Amino acid sequence: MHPLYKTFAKCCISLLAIVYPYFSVNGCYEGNEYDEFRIAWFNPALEVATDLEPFFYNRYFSSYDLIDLEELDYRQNCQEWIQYLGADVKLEDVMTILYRTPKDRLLDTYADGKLSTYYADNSFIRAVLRPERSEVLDYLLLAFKAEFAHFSAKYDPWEIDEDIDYRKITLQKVVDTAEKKINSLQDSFLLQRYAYQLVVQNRYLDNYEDCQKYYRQFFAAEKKSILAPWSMIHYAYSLEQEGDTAQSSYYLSRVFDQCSSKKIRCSRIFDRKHLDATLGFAQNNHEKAVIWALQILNNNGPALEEINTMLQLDPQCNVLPMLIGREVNKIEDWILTPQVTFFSYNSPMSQTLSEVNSLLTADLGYFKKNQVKDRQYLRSFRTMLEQYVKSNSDAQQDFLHLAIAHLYLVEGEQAAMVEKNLAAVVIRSNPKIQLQVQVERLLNLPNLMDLQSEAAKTSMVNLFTQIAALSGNIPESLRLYPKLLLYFSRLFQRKGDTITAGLLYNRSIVVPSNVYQGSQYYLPLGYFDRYASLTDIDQLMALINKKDKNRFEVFLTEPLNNLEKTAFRVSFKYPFNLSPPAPIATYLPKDMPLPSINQLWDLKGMIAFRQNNLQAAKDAYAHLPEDYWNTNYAFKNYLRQDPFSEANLLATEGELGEGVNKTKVVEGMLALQKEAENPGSKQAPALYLLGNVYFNTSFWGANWMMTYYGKSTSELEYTDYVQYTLDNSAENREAYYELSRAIACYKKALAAKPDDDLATRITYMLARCDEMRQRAKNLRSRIRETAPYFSPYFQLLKDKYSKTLAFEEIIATCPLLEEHLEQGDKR
Amino acid sequence: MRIGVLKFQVLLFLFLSMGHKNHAQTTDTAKVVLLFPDNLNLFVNEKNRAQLDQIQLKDLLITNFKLDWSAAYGSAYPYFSRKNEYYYINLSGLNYTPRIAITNRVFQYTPVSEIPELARRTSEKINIVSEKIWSATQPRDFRYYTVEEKKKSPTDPSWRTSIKEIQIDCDWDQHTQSAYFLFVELLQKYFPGIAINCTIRPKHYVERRKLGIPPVKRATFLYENPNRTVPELRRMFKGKPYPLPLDVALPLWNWVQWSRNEQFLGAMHWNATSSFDPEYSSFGSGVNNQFSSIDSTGFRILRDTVVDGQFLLKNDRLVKSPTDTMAIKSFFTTLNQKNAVANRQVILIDWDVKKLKAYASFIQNIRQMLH
Repeated sequence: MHPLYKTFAKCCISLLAIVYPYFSVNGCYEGNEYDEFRIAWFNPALEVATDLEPFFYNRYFSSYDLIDLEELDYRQNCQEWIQYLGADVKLEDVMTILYRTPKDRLLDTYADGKLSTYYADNSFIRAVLRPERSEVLDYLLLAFKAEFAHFSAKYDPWEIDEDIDYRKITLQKVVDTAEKKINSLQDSFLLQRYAYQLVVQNRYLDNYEDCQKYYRQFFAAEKKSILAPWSMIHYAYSLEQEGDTAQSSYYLSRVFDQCSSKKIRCSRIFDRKHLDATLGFAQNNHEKAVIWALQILNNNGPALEEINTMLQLDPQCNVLPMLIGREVNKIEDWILTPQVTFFSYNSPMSQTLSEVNSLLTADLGYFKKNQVKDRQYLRSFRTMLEQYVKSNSDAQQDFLHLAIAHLYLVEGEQAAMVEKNLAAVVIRSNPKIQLQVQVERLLNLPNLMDLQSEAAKTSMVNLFTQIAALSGNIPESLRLYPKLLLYFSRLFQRKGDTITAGLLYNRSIVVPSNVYQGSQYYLPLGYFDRYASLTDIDQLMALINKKDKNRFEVFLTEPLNNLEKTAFRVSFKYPFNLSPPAPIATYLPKDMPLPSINQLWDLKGMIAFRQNNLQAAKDAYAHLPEDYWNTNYAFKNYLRQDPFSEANLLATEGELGEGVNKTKVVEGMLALQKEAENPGSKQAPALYLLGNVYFNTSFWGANWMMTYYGKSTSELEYTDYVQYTLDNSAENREAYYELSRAIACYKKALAAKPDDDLATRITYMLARCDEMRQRAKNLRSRIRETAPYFSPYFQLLKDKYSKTLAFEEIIATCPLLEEHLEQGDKR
Repeated sequence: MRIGVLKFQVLLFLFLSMGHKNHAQTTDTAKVVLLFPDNLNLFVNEKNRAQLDQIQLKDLLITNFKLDWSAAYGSAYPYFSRKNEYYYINLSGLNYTPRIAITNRVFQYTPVSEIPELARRTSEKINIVSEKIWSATQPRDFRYYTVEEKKKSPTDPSWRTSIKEIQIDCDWDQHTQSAYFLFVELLQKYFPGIAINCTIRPKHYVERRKLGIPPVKRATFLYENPNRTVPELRRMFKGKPYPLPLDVALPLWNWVQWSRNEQFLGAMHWNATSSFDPEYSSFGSGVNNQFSSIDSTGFRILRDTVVDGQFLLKNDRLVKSPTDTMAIKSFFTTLNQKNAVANRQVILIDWDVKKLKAYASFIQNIRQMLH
């Protein structure tokens, strides 16, 4: 026997080898954004103004940067310039100069007299360089200097004088110039621009009185220009600085309502503690409704009451559809996510596979409790929407009916009400509405007919096809399509249709679902490994080999489409406010969702082997070529040792032994079983060797890959993550971790009157198995051992067999045994 | 007659001895100096340092900072300020000379009345940055100092005693000549005991009457475009030697040809543009996407930008040209023939860290050419 440290080192290396593919194939939930495992089948962008997208329901406030909000306002500002300068100025040219060119660069180019040369093709520059527009150019140069001072300048560019604040010096110069200009200029456009500089720069120079004075003078009554809300935020800030928080919050709500680029900023600095006082400043119900909206924008908890208040105040408020959609998204997340992806708010819902299975039937204690509460809230919210739809004929009827239909679906068993609301949707030309209608139809299908009927299957295929075609109308990160597939996989699983459930599961493999996914070889097998019976495997093989598949079968078995192959995006937050396109998952096997027939024969053999159905295992393995385990997966690394030999914990060196492949192991076992049945001299040795195979193919043995495809240290424990626990029945657990079959064989062998040498070996193995079983039990039930368990079989070994030749041999190969036996004496 | 012969002999002796003295001086102090790369992405690692030691390169010219004029600030301002000691971690024990690069625009736009203030600020900046770089290049002292010990020790002014020269690089013209020369004179006053060395370009050498001679004791002939033909070189050096002793600075590894619409606009320092060089992009410069490689030697500008005080426009082309070693040899031959420069030291600019080893023997040749 190897010294203990060598064995330990081998253990570590081997376990690393097994665990490594787990990381490389991205089977881990860590690192994914919450959206990856959240169910969001109600499209948050259904009827929502684009500049409200940052406020969609999400774990992180404002993590949706689907749209560049600033660009929307910038374009409006550029349009105002075009209106002033003339229609021959192009929008893109104004954008280039005002927003895409560094201001110091423009100022330097002007100083060098090269503006007209360098920007000869720019219609905006050409327009402002006309001699009669010198005032315009002067304003722009001043504004550029101010902008440079704000965004690019250092306090002291020389970094030698701490007292210099270049920024303030420049801003003061801007204010001085602008004050002169507003007293002399006649041009109302430029006048307003200079006034804007006065509002902004006075705020940054802490001259709040002047900031407020110029705002009131020039912008309080302004309705059209984008400068009005842009200056208002500085006005609000100056009010806040002077302690008038409520009025400041009121103006922030006005800015929020009037422009896009300041929306996020306003929602972040809006003070939620002074609601009543803030509402006191509102001039009308619409303004009150917007203040209520800001109050609940980043609240991820229930917001029914506030939304109801808004509906009473201003049913037409443009923030309402976003808030209603947000609420629907919250409810479906609370109720559906745990049952579909087995997550709840980025934490795994379950700790063992049996718990996962009980989630499918909603039979898990605390989950049940939450569900009752959430469903109650769902009903209240839905009732509110229904009353509102009835009483307001001019409301966004289609949007609201779809929201109501979706809530009925999430509640479950409300097929008629779903259909009724879907029938009320009028405008079908909008692709977002089309998509939502199809999603609701698909989700309602199980309520209307038996999913296993041909009609249901045909409808399913049709609806999935239509949804795939329209899926560009919902934010990509929500993964509508694969999550729907995963949901239907769960539904078929509840019906006991493992094949359909497994294939649908494999089609949704990119959705993190809190189970072990493993390497390329295991990905298509995983589901069937956990749930399939021997008959299921036969039927799956028949389906794969079937020539004239029907439409549903083709849908299940055809290669994955791009929606099904889109990989996890580690982070969809990206510089420049734009999300990068999610990549195609390159780790997926090319035949996904199907395993190969050979993989299925091996799986069938393995399942039979776990069941100790050796004949069935032999029959399955007989279909595989002899070198299959030498050339596939990691079999050759974990089937190295002769499984009939006395237990050597891990044999990782050397080539695969010549006759050691799964077929031959099973054949050998069958032969031994036969010998073990007949009393006589061969019975004890046969039982001893059988015991060895059961030991070696257990979690503790070097040939564990006879029984499972993966292994991890945390399997033994009661882990938080199901992906490590590969066991699928209590019986398997006993045989695999607690060595029940090996121990039974050794006990029978000992009872079959072996000679002293063999009895020594049997007792030694029994002792080891006994100690390992105890360890497995303790770890699983989280019992901390105060002292290591000492098996009575070791005591027997010492007392009865210490004089045998075999004992000497065992001691010679395992020097630590002597020490261990002494420990037993001390007890 | 005898007196006449004696006079002639004395004169001849004096001439020869002067020549001899001159030659002896050259031999004593001649050295090869490396201009540290201006590319902030480049870093001298231990391997590069070992190569420097192997070819016995002990002298470094390091750009402290660059000065340009900014219309936004309305004044001159320093940029490319090297303050991070990390860049010099493998340079301990080497001799360091500070260099300041100033664009001509600084003197074009700074009123003469503000030149004294410009000189004051520049001197202060030189003090701050030189102190940091000098300390970083000193042999490491790994002793742990307590806060109290640190407080007690006065600022070490030793960089001023060990540094003999400061190089000022500026491509001045006729219009900026007086402002620049005034600046140099004023700057010199802040550094008694340290010589200001000004760079001159071929045009300053040839058109010295128009462009003037900088008010310093020694200058450096900056040979930016090294691939000139021998007749061109002879024409350049045909007149009287420059009235100041001259060192030579030349791009040994690469130089960059800047062109617009197939028209050559000038030579640029490769090191200033090398952060955009596709070959060096692995250093992680975030501005690489402004340029796109179009062939193995050059890149095209995709967006207007400023490099080393030059406005580069979209579609301008920068071609990295390897320097022809034969051209450098003919350059030195012509110099020696024309006795044009003092040959005291040769500054190798645009140091390509990756190619130091390949040029080891040629650097040895240059040493020999100096004698």
